[in-house]
Amino acid sequence: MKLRDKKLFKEGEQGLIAATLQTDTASVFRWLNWLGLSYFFLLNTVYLALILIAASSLAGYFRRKQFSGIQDAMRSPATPPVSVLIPAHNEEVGIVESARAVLSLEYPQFELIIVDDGSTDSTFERLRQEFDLVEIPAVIPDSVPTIGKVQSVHISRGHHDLTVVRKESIGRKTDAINVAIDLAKYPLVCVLDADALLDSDALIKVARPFIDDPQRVVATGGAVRPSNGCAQYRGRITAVRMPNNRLAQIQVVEYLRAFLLGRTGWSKIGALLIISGAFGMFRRDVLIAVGGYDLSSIGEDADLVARIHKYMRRQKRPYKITFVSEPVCWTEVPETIAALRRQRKRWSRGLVDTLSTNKSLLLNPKYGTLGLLALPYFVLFEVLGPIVELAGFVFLIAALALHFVNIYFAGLFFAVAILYGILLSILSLLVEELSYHRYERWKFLTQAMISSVTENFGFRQLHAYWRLEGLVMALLRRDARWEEPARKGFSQDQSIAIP
Amino acid sequence: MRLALVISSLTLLFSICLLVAATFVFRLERIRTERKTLIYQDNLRKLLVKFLSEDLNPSELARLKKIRSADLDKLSDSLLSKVKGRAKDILVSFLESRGAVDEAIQRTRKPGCVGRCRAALFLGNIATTEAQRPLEYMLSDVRRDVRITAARSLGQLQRPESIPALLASAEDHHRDIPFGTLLLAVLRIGMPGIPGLQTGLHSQSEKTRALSVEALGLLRSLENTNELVNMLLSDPSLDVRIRCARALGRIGSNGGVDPLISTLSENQPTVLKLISCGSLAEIGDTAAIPHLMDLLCGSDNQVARRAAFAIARLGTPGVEALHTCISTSAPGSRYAIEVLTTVEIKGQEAFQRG
Repeated sequence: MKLRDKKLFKEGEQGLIAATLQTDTASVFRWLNWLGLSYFFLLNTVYLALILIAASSLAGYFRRKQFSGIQDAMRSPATPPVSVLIPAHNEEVGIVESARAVLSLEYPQFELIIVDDGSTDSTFERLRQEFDLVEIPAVIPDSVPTIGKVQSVHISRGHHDLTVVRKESIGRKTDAINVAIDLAKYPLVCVLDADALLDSDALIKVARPFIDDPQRVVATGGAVRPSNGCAQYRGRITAVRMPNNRLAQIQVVEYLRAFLLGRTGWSKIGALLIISGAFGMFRRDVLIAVGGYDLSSIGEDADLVARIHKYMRRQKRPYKITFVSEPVCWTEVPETIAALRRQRKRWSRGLVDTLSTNKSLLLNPKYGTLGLLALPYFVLFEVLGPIVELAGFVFLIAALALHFVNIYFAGLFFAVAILYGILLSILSLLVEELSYHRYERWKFLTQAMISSVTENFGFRQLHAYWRLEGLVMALLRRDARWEEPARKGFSQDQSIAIP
Repeated sequence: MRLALVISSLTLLFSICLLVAATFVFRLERIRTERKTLIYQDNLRKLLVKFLSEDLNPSELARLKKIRSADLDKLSDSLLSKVKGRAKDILVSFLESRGAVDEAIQRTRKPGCVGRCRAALFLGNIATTEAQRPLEYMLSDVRRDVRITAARSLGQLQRPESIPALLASAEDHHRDIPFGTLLLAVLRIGMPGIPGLQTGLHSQSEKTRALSVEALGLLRSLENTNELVNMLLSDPSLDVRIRCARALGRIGSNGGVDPLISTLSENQPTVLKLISCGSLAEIGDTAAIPHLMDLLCGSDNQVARRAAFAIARLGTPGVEALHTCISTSAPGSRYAIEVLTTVEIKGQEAFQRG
């Protein structure tokens, strides 16, 4: 072979290799893009199914509501008394309002226990002044484990059923709740966030499943909605409004879709994994049997529910863990990117922690729909979701730039990832409109509609990134402690007076 | 690919627009219906209230009698639970003249859970004798909501003849009714229902016995003290024994003191001891103090704490006993200190009220 021919052959060989490589890269990109597309389709379809299940459940609930006899539950001597537990850490802004709101709840018999977990602000001082607290030499039983030393226990002269505990903080909310569980004297305990404001009948409504089916119901969770922008008077929401802050508006829609309808759907198929730490009710004996909240857990709410599932299944006792969509707990959501990022990282970190601790439940037929549906969903879409979501967008942009996929594929990807997402949010708003229609003004409905669209451009991607950060934190086993609440509380201009 | 894109995008966009439109339309429709109903019902309500206060002139009366709308029935139904005395009698006879009772009785057997519930609710509100049988029949309805509404309505009838049916429904495990609903229904019947409840004490069913015991305690049926004492000491069910202990406390008869004291012994279940402590405090017999002091100095912290609170509720002798406990540094003295401090803060009277 001549030298020139050899050179040409070599060039051709190199070109062939380059072409093969390019074809391989293109196939990998295409394959990844299809994977991303399928992922978004599956995720959104699961959500659609959950929303439809929730809608059917809500329709049944509203049909029966008029016969529910909630007033009977209020009058019945068989209604079990409740211990309401509030862990608080640097909550000076809203603790008094929260306590007042709880003390004026409509419920036959209940006590309120607030645990001030090493606050460095005037949380305790404010409570002391408002409720005339007096120290007592209380003996705290050790039914569930605690670490932080209890400094003092106080009761109120005026309010017969208010107890405030001061303890050293170990940086964990769970330790504060466990102290309150130890002190609780009633058979049901309701755990609330310190900034939570409840509707006046929220407690009786969340306790209702326990009254109706006392043998089987072991835990119930209530719906949580953002309180930002709402008007309140003495710890009670008096007018439901959309927040002015765009980030909070997006969270209103998100809470509606994911927490209200999502959890209603999971509850309906008996696979509820998360009862929000902001508002959940439990049978105290079951809490004690499972050892209370796990002091090392970050995602304490999901972890507790998973352990209750495990315990009840092991005991072979029929049980129910229910989500009640009607009682509403209003809580302040973050209005800044930084605060929201912290919160979501913590949630993601906690979920990974819970799932890894309770991995024996995953795909385990002994745990029914929880093991076969809910946990795989959480692993696939909540834990691995951020990786797939972010990678999906990155690969799509790269593949477009390198001409590995055409514009039609990108359009299809956009339709499945974004338009389908918007559809789900709007569907959630429709379900809300047909059921609770809490946001009564046209302006609020329009704002919610706009947020349903805008959340898909930026917020969702950021959210995926924060969840990824949480996942990395979990893998690196970084600790997550009590967060400093970035709360504004309720200013005077937000409050309206009720004569 | 292009076709897939066009189809999916168009479908999604169309669905989004449809949902947005539906949301706004539903809101508009709701507002319109609410306004219309409000105006219509407001007029009807005025007419009905005038009728009940016997202020209607003949032409208005004729107009009212001619109205054949479901709104009028609904409104009358809603007013039923709010009016009393003469006005209620007028309303009941008005509804009877419209055939509302017969219609409701017929609806109790028709398909449609909501319709049956509404019928049961109506029959409970109107509280006529002929409603008893259909309501009792509904206690075994396939739908739980219907059974619950029927039980509640039977309570509203306040007929002691319904007690056996209510107790029997407690026995049905497949078609259950919440304990609280049955209890409230039985309590609504009140003292006339006591003979029926006495028969429930001998039932084979644990739930029926528990229901009877709970109701007798809440009705403070003094004449059943001995029966409850026997059950406290010998019933095979712990739940029933616990309820007996609580009932004896509510009744407050001194006849319950010795049996309750006997349940404080070492071999008895903790939960029973806890309830008995409270009941002894409610009865208020100071004879219980030495026995409660034993518990206070015992090894079970939960029981010791409850005993301390029970002793303090027994008035001055109890407080003195607690002071003695502190001065002798007995094992339960830390609970005694806690309780006495609480008594000091709250005041003896408020503390005794619980």
